Order: sequence, then structure tokens, then C-alpha cells
Amino acid sequence: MLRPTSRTFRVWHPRGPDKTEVWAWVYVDTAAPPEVKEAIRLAGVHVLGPSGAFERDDMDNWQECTQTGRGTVARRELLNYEMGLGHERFDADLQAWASDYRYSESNHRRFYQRWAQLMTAGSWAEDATASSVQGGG
Amino acid sequence: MDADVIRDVEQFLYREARLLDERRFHERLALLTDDVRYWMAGRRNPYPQVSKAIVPLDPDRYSAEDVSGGNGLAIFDETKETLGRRITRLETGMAWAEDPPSRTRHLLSNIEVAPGDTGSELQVYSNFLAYRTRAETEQDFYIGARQDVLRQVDGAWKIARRKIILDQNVLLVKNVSIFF
Repeated sequence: MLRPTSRTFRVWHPRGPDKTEVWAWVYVDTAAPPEVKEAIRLAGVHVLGPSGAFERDDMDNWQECTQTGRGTVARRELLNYEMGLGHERFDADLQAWASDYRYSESNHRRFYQRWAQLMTAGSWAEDATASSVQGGG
Repeated sequence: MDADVIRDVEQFLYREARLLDERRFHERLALLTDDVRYWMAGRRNPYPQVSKAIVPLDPDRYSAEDVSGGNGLAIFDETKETLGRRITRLETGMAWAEDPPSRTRHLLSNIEVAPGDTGSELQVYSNFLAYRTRAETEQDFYIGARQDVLRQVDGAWKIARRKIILDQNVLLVKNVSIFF
């Protein structure tokens, strides 16, 4: 996910039903002038680091979402994952699915599709032949 | 070092810690010089050079330094202006990580006072344990060291530089929404 507010690249690792581990990098263009590199570095610290304007609040949001999701009412209701639906396309250059929307739930749909694929496969061999990147938007 | 100076510095740091714990952030900000650099380093977890566990693929890039440098990513890298903005944000009513606010207790120890680069400055080392509890049962411990430069400005001590070194590599706290 590339955030427009500062240059961050993230990998989200599911670590079980109630745990996600995020790896985050801040990247700069090699050819950028030093003052641009420094501005991006500081934006990474001030906005998206552990003390950043977004991240220090988001940690609470994510924690509370997880706790709320465990509740009786939350378990009874279906969750809506439709944001950006129909705007995905398979990008031949990236060899991956991409969305035309800056904010979408494409990743979430893809994640749960893959999860469902793994959960319903008859055997590991059967699943291993199923591609994680093919198979419809 | 003159015992009165050491005592003066200790009292200054204890008072600053009390201002933080009483959430008197504007009064605390006034204790910093206008050109302050307030910096909390990131940590690394490198193998020592002599380790038999690894073979560096690129020995030229190997570094045993476990504290991030001043131009790397950091947990804080602030000026007086950006620290002021952090305080202003706490007052917007939309700073959710501090709503309801944390209750903190800053405990200081191992205070050492040494001469600074100029006659009006001192180099001050201290260790801290910052306890943060929030909401009903949340609690976190932030433990580390500080390297300060204190400067005499109009007859009073001010903090001209603070480097904060947390001991944890991966932060075991969920966020850093308090000051040190």
C-alpha cells in the first residue's frame, strides 16, 4: 500500500485470529535532492511512525476493532467489504491485482478469498496448484 | 563538577518530569530552547562482528551500531515547533490515543553532570522509567537513557538537545503518545 502522505511501503502479516504484524519502510527516490529526502524522512517519523499523528491513534483503532469484532452483536452481523468493488484489474507489469481506487477493500477481499481457498481445499496438493493471484476480481 | 550545580540540574529534571506527569505540556515546552533537537532513536539488533552465527554478505555494509543515526528513521525527531504541534493536537478533542488520557509516572535516576561544549552548557546523562497506564487496565513501561545538553538562558536552565535511547528493539508498546 503506497500512502500519499509520506512514502511508506507496508507488509501486513496475519499472525492469528487477533494479531497482525506490520512491517513498514519509508523510501525515497535515489535521485531526489537531499532536502526532499529529509522531508520524506521526517514525514515518516511525524505521521506514520509509532509516535506519528496517524499511527499512534490507529493502533488504538485497530486494537478496538479487533476487540469489538469479538462481541456477540458483531459476530451476528455480516461485515461490508465492498469498497472499490469492480475497480480491480490484474496488472501484467506488477503480476498482481491492483485497484484504481486509492482506498479500497480489494486487499481484504483478496485475503479472505485466499483464506477460503485454503480452508476448503481437499488436500494441500490440491491447494498448492491453486494460484493466489488468479481467479476473478 | 560543583555539587550545587549537580543538585540544581537534578531539581530541574525532576520538575520537568513532574510537569509531564501533571500534563502541563505548555509549561514543559517552555523549558526547551528555541533551537532544541528532541530525538528518540530507533534500535537495531545486529550480531556482533565476532559472531560465528553469521557471515556478512557485504562486509562493507556491516555495522555493529545498535542505535540509529541522526539521519535514519526515529521514533521522535522534533523541533520546538513540531513538539508544539503535538501538544496542540492533544487539545483538538480528536487525539484518540490520548482520549481518555494516559496516566504517566516518569522516574529518573543515574543523573550525571559533565561540562558541555561551551561555558553556558552542560552535558547531562540520565536513565528513566516511564510508566504509562490508560483506560481500564492498559499498562506500558518505557525504559531507557537520555543524553541532554542543558544551556543557561537568562539565568535559567533550558534543554537544548535531548537524545532518548529506548532499550527495546521492536517496541513492545502499541504506540508512543507520551513525552520523555
